[in-house]
Amino acid sequence: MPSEQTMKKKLISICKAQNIPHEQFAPLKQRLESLGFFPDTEVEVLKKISFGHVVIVRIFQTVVALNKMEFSCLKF
Amino acid sequence: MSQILNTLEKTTKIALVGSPNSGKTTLYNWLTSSHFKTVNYPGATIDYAVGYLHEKGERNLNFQVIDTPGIYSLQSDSEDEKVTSRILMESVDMKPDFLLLIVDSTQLERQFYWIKQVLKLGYPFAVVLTMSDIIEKHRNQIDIKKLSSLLNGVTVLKFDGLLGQGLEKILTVIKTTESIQNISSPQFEFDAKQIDALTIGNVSELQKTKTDYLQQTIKIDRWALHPLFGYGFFFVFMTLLFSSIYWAATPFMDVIDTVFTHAIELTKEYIPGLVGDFISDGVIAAIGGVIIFVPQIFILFVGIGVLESTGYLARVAALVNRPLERVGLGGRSFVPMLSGFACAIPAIMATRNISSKKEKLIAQLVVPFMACSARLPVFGLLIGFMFLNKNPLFAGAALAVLYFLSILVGVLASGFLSLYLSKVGSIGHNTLTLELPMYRLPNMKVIFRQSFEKLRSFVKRAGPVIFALAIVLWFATSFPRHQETPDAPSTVVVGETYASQLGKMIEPVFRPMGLDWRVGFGLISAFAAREVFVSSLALVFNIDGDNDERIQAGLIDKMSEAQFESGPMQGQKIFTFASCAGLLIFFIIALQCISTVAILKKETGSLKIALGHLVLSNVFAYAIAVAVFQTLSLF
Repeated sequence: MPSEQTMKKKLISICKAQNIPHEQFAPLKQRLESLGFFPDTEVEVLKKISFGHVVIVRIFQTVVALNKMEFSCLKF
Repeated sequence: MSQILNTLEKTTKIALVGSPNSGKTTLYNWLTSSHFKTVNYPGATIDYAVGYLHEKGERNLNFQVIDTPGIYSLQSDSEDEKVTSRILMESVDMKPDFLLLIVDSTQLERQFYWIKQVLKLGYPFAVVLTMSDIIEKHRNQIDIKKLSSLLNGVTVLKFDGLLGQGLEKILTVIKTTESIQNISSPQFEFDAKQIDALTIGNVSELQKTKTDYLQQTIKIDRWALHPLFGYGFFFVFMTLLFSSIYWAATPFMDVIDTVFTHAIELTKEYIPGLVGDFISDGVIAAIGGVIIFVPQIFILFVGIGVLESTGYLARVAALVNRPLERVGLGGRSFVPMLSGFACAIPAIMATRNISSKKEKLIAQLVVPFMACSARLPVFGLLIGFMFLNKNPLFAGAALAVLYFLSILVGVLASGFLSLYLSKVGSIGHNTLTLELPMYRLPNMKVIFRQSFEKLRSFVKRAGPVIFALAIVLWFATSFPRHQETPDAPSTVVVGETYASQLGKMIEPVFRPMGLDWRVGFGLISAFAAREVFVSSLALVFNIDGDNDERIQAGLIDKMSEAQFESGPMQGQKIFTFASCAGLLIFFIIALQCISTVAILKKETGSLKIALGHLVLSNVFAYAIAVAVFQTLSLF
């Protein structure tokens, strides 16, 4: 079975990444918060897929796929 | 009339509100006795459904139940969540009188984000805890009293979606809503500790079970989302799905075939004359031409249902995100695209889940290129003809190739649209943020029931169109008839019928595709519904009244003998490998379904876009089909 090293990180904040337009950031932040991405929450980075452009993370008991741009908004 | 208006005015509206996959639609089905689809992927409810309460088989007009799309938050940018927000915050006609908040017991910590937002709106409400059987399986339970006291004494109920346990209590609460409408909504702040404290029993064991469950999912994902094997599995599953549509359906199709053949024979035997001809050659042959493909369509629905309910579909969406991004789409477009293989109409509606305007528009325009189930009868007939007397595996492989070809057409179209839209101005970046549900074993009973419902709606939709066209086509292919004489009954001369006369006028348009008026006639009738093509062929190729053979086999026999009756190609065979290949290409590219055009207009908000798609795709399909036929004819 393929084995992988996962990484657990504490979320500090959700910040606007440079390549995200302003009008897209607010709804994105809202969606991330609704999934439980709040400061101080533990986020486990499980793996990168889709040629490194999608990051699979675990938050609480939920597995979430984020694209590179969305993941870059999470500050650890 | 005034009585109806009075009833409507008195109707109490109950809205079911909850996050995606929390079990809203399941409860809605129990409350209204309907069989709507519930899936393990965000977006089962893409529009809201409204139904009257059903009790002991009786409809109760005093209560309307609204099934709203799942929400993570009330301030969302996705269209489906906006539907719920609008119902709760803006709607006048559909403004609910009472809310049933559907809360997934296994994900309590995540539910309170939207619950807090909804409660601030001030609606009277009750809480329904779903999935509590999972908690109780591990000797735990949610402390209902504590939860109720945290919510100012609001009613909290449990509901088991599989067995319907708890339904009676929910019905009692619904029917007493009037007496509790004046309750004030609580303003509260929850913290994680309070939420944890709601679970009674061995919390650590429950946590361990949840963690074990999660770890199991993560372990499977090591293979399913592997950079190399992940795509391998994806390819294998898709090939299995698409090829099984052919070989797994064959035995069932044979049974249907036999039944219809006997029905035709019996009708001809017992009902002589014109009426018998009409019923056997017109109605039964036309309906049989479509019903025979029901097993294939059913297998497709079941296959997609299994992929959805196991949780694998969401993984594939994440896996193919990057390749789809390259052509202007994204992972969120994957489910609408795959649903497009079943039917373009719900698939186009499912694009509401996509928040990027650019991605959404591209997905809406590309979905019709996916080979929908209505094309299956056409594919089945033409492939059956092209691979007659050959190993059925070849036919299965050919069908898989057609599906991949339709994906290729979709990819090329979306790449082109992406380039075009980038040139005319960027309209947003693609977003993913996709919850990957835990793996579950599929509930085959539910999947079969849902597939059966979809199949029924497919047959119901196609049936009246086929019947109406059957009458028109039978008339057009059976008249004028030669006068009846004492020695002989009235007869039909093939080249003199109304259909023949009209068809010959339009034949020059279809001749470059290697087709005569009869096939052209079938192509035109396919604009009503693609599957009508087969029944139209069945009718126009049986105009001599000789229909003793089995429906499809008989049609294939006729096709192999069919020749051009006049013009420069007179005497040449119509159905060759080249002309069938051209026809298949035409069916892959052309947007023919008028219902799809209507839904495109509704979802894009532009008649110009919908009609533009109709015209351009048909012109393009015609040009490519001509090119394919002419090129293959050289060999």
